[in-house]
Amino acid sequence: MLIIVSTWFVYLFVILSYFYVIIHVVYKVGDVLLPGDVFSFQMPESITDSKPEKVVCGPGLRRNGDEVLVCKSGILRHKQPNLYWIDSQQRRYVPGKGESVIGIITAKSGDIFKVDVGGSEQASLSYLAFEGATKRNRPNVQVGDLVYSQFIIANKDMEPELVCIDSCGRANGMGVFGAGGLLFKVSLGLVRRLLAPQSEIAKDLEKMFPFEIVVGMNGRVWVKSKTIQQTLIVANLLESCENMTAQQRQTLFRRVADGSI
Amino acid sequence: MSVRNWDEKLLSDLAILMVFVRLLLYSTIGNVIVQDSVYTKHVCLSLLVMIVVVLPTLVESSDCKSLDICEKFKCFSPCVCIHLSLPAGDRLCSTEDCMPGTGVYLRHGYIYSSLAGYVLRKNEGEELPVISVVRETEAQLLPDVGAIVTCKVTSINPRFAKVHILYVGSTPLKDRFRGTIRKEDVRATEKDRVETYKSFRPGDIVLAKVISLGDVQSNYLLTTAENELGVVVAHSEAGAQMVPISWCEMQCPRTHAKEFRKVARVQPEYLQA
Repeated sequence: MLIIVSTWFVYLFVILSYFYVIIHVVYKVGDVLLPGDVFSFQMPESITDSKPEKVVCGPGLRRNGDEVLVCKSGILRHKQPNLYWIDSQQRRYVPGKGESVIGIITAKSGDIFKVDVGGSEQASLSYLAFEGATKRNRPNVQVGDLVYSQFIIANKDMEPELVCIDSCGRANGMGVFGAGGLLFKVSLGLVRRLLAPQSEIAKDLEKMFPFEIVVGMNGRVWVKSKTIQQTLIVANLLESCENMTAQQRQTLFRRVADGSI
Repeated sequence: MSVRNWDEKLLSDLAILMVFVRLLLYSTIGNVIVQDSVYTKHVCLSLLVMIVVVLPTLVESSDCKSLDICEKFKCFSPCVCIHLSLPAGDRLCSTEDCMPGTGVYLRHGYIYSSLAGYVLRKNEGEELPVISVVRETEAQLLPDVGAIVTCKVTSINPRFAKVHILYVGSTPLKDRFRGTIRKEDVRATEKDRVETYKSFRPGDIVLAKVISLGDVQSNYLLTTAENELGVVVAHSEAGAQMVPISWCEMQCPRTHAKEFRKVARVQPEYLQA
């Protein structure tokens, strides 16, 4: 059974590489693989002749000369026509360029804010990276505020940098938020599932009761509902439906919806 | 003070010192031994002391035509800069014999040493030999403005890259000097659109040119804004040494992944297979 993740998630991480495929039945899609496994796989049923094929390696796979190595432990996934990747569980966030995250302002120093995004270093956010901010008109940001922002520089050699505007200079939903509500942490896999366009979890949640939600790619989720009780219910549901199958999840949601008024 | 006065003052001081020493010896030993033997012992002791202390100064005060004597004395006492009671350094020779080089100074027609180190005498043909004093036997080569240096990138920043200078030209340096390559000095065109992450990475070996020696606290300022300057050796994220494919890209032979660097166009005669 495959849970197909949306294309935007894949394209953010894709390392394109091309090689010729040898039909070699060793691993099937859906197998658990460990780092160091040399990856060979069964071709899809439609292509049975040994013609060379282009295969795209997604996250967790790396080309090593003529073979493909697995770098992360997880389940092998496949997306038509030729995309393979490893679906792995992770809670530790590694900043990546272009990702939108929820950060907490920890310090103001000079022209920049220091933001905690849950990575190994704090990211920096400039004063001028807000909509309508100029040197005279400073944004109203205090230490401890929540910001929803995007990475423009995120790699292992430099300090990560965030901005709260897009390339046109508009806020586009980013900036300071969070008067009230609850911020909690989930795993990265759940966050990706929530953010997928046809997310079932999000659809199930919507049926419960109205609430506001902000989801950051660093595993942080902020929820706000009419009453504190409802907010807590949503937070608990999200934290617990991580390892459930769709069936179990729907039963749980129905039980809670019936139980609450 | 003139040289003659300095010599006479020294000798007079020594003479006074000798008188006191003699008196001391006489008073301590005189009571124990027979008068004749005491006197002879006393005279011998004082003569010995005089010879050991006064002779070097006597030798120096005469015009030492041959420098060999001076150099022999250097074995016993290296060229110390300042004597305990004298304002001048070790006198090496007169200006008629040698030309002054580095680490020496001229005073009253004689050449004195101003450093603690070794005396170097170089013969240059018809002209007088050049005498200099150096701290170490080998000269340290320093990067100069306009020199091509080989350096290793240590850290990068959106505004500049910090490097350690390893070679000046083709000579390796004993100490590592620090250098900085600013964002606007990375290449000659489109300076404002340069991204340091796409030009250098930590661990790359870069050929650069020195444009400034910098202040006391700042490092050497380097530039790679030429075709022949830039990244020469770089390793990919997989760990293999990358092959350049254009002036701005390098490819890893193992993973075939392309990475951005500011690549140097090395002349074909310097490339080794």
